[in-house]
Amino acid sequence: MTSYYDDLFASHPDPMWIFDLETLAFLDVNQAALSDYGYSREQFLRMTLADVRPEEDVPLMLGTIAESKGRATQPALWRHKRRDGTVFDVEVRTHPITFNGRKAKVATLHNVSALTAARAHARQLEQRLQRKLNRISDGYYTLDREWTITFVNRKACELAGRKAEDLVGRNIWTAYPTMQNSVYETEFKRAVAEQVQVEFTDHARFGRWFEVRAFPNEEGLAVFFKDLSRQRRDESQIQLLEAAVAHINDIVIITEATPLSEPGPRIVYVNDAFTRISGYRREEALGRSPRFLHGPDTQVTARAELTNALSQQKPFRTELINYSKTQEEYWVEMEIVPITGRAGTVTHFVAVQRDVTARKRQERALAISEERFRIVSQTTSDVIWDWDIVTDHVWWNEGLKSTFGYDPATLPEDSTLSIDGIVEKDRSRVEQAIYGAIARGENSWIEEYGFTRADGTVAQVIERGFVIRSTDGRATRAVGTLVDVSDQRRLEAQLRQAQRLEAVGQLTGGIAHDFNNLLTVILGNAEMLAERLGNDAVMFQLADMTRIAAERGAELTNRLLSFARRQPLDPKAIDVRDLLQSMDGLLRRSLGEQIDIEMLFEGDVKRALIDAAQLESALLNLCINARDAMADGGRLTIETQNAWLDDEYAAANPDVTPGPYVMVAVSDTGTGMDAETIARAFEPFFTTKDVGKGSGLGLSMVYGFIRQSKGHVKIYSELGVGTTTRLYLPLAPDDAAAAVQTEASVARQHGAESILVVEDDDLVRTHVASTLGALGYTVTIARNGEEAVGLLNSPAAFDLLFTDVVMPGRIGGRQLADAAARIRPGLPVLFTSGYTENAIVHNGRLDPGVHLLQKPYRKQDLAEKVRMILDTSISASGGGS
Amino acid sequence: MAAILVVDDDELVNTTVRLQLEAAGHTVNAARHGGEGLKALDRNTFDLVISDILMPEVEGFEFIRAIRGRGLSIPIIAITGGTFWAGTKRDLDLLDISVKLGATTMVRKPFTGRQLLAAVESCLRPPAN
Repeated sequence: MTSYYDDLFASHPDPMWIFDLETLAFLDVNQAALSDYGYSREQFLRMTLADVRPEEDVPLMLGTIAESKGRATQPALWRHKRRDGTVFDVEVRTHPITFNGRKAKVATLHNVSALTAARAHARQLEQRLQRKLNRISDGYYTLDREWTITFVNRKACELAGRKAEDLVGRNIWTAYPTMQNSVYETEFKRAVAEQVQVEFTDHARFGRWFEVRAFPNEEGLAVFFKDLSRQRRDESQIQLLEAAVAHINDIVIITEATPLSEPGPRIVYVNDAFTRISGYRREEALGRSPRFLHGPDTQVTARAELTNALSQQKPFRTELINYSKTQEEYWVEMEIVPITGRAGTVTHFVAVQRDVTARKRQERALAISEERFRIVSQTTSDVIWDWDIVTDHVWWNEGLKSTFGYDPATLPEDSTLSIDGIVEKDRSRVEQAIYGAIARGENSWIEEYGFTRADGTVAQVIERGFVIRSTDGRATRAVGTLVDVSDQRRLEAQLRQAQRLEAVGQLTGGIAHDFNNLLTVILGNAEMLAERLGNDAVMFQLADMTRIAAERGAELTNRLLSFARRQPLDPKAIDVRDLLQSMDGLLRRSLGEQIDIEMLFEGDVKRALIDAAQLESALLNLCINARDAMADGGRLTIETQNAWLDDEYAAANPDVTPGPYVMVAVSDTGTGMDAETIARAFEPFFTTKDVGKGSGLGLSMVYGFIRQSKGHVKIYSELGVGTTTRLYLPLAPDDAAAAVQTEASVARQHGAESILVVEDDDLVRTHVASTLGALGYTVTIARNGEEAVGLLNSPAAFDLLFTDVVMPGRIGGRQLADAAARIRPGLPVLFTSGYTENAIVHNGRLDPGVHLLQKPYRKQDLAEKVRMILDTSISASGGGS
Repeated sequence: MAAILVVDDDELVNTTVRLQLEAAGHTVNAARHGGEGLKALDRNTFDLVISDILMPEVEGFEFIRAIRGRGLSIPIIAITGGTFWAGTKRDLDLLDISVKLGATTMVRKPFTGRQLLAAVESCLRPPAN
């Protein structure tokens, strides 16, 4: 036995030794110990346990041995030191024995340096793994088979919001009760049971999107999870952005950043709005530069600014004209932003373009409209106003000043003038009409009323207002005009008056003709009766009264004719002063001694062309009126002088031809007339005199006579002051001047055509032939229709037929013209007649519209008419015949 | 005394004038318009024609022209109650026209017998010189 143990001891591959429990000296060592520790047997046997220990471990060793009290010890790990000083880890087991009679222990030493090194390495690896696991972006934890958390990485802690030490060692279902009965529990258990990798996403448990992957392993389960919430959010945001960019109404174009020189950066993206507005398909745009959208009206400056901004890589905003595929121009308001990539350089430009064509058109239309309004409001003589109904603010154009004398700058800004300016008698009516129109929802109104000018006078105005309403129908504003129609209304009144007088005149003229026939019969027969009954006094008186009544009737008819401007006149050139002087005695007798008569004559009064007897009668009428207006006496002034009625006066008095006149004025200092009386003064049978004192025809006759004489009458009167009646008489013609004018005109009316003149009156025929010959025409004459037809049938050339209408013989003017139309179609015809055109046409002698030269005519009239017809005929037929 | 042709469409005027002239011892033939007047002139010889202007059928102007057109130098007195062509721009005096067409003188209606006879006398009497 001993040798067996000896052999076992000696040949044991691990070092073994026996040491004295008291002295700790080595009593025996085996071969492995010798080789492992580097000492010889002899050296060992002189050493103690302390000699193979690092010095610092010796006290611990001594304590442990003392404590063990000689009992066997479990393997313990110690550090031993070799002879060369190296220290290594040793697992030591001791067992007590008796060696050579002494208490000793046998120790088995197992060098565990490799193991401890491996452990250290493993620890290192584990630490590194943990560090790595802590660094990964996913959450990671491990579970053992009891579902205890064995490891939690930093990300998992972060996501869980707990510390690792609070989790490790806990049951996961306890730590997270919400995971129970969830996809977590089912999937984790499935992974373990089936030993498969599981993967799921969950949002319900933690309110966040987690993607979880679990891998079964020997220990249990390794779980990776990541928070997808942000990713999900980002993804949905990107989708949203993509959809938004694609479907937004604004154009989005993304280009590369280069080249900025030609051909320009390439388009890499366009959205739907681009294709819709530009008309280009996506494929047609991609790869080209946005510059292909530019066209003739694209602003050069904006383009230059754009290129400049892009080269500086700055955001840029501008408005630009682009062109669609169909070359229609459209305006875009665009903003270009450079997009910087990861490297910090600009990689793309994003252009967002809004189609502002409609707005631009509106702006342009508005600008034109405003310009137009400005011009209109400046140039019009109408007054334009703009009333803000809400604020009661009123704007007036400059017309307010020029037309009514109010300066818009000094007016109250509200509608004071608009209302107060209306004369009192019209005010409430107009206000009611305007507010009524607004209230009833009408869009305009027209009112006429009196409007007080700044100088206090009253103008007659027409107001046109247009209501502007908000979308809910509320009237917010009104714009309109005030037109001064004072002159127009006055002229209209005058015209109405003139038309009334004309109508009465025509009526009177018509009646007078028949009435004169009746009076002729009554007068003639009464006269004959009176002569025959001369012996019977009573019968004679009866007949004579009939005659006198008829004569009065004749006188009345004459007055009516006079008023109607139908009385036969015998105008002659007279000196009005002579006429007035001759009337002096008559007037003094007629007016009586209570009235002073004064006559004022200008030194060089021109001659008037007037019927002297009628003028005398008219003046007498005026003087009688003046006398009647001065019942208590007064002064009558008669004056005469040259006068000139100018264009302005003629414009205000439609019956006046502007020019020189001889004026005779009769003025009294009597009762005067008001405006209404003056307005009616010329009406027949209108009288202010007592019944029986006046016929009411006096002024009517004066008016009719003067108008018939191409003159003009004007009454000026003021109540209580007196009346002035002015007669404007036409001047006697200045023959010499007229002749010069005629000759000058005739010289321009010459011609070389051939004219056939048909006229039965020898004198007239000769005159016409010489006149036309002097103008250069070739003249052929015929004495009557028959002769003319013969000439028309001859080969002679004629460019015009000039014929009298009424000629003796079978062929009159009309028949001749008919014949000419047959023989020489297209030959123009000019008729001449002593009758007026109306008389001839109405009696069926000619068709309306033919050329007629009325006799008597001036040379100039003849020349002009002939020339006109020839020129018209040539241009119509393309050449003469 | 003279043979006088009176032409007037108004029968009362026609008769009155005839009576006035006959009272003065003249022989009178009456016609109602120019056409009748011309026929009368064809049949008889007259010393004087008194003619209205505004008549139906053949009116005064034509009648006067026709008389002169036949080369007759018989004196003609134009009479009318009208004065002007109505409604024309240039009002023309009917009697002026008549004289221009060849009437010897004119008497406006209404006229007394004395006025008419004065005109008749002046027409029948040879010129003063």
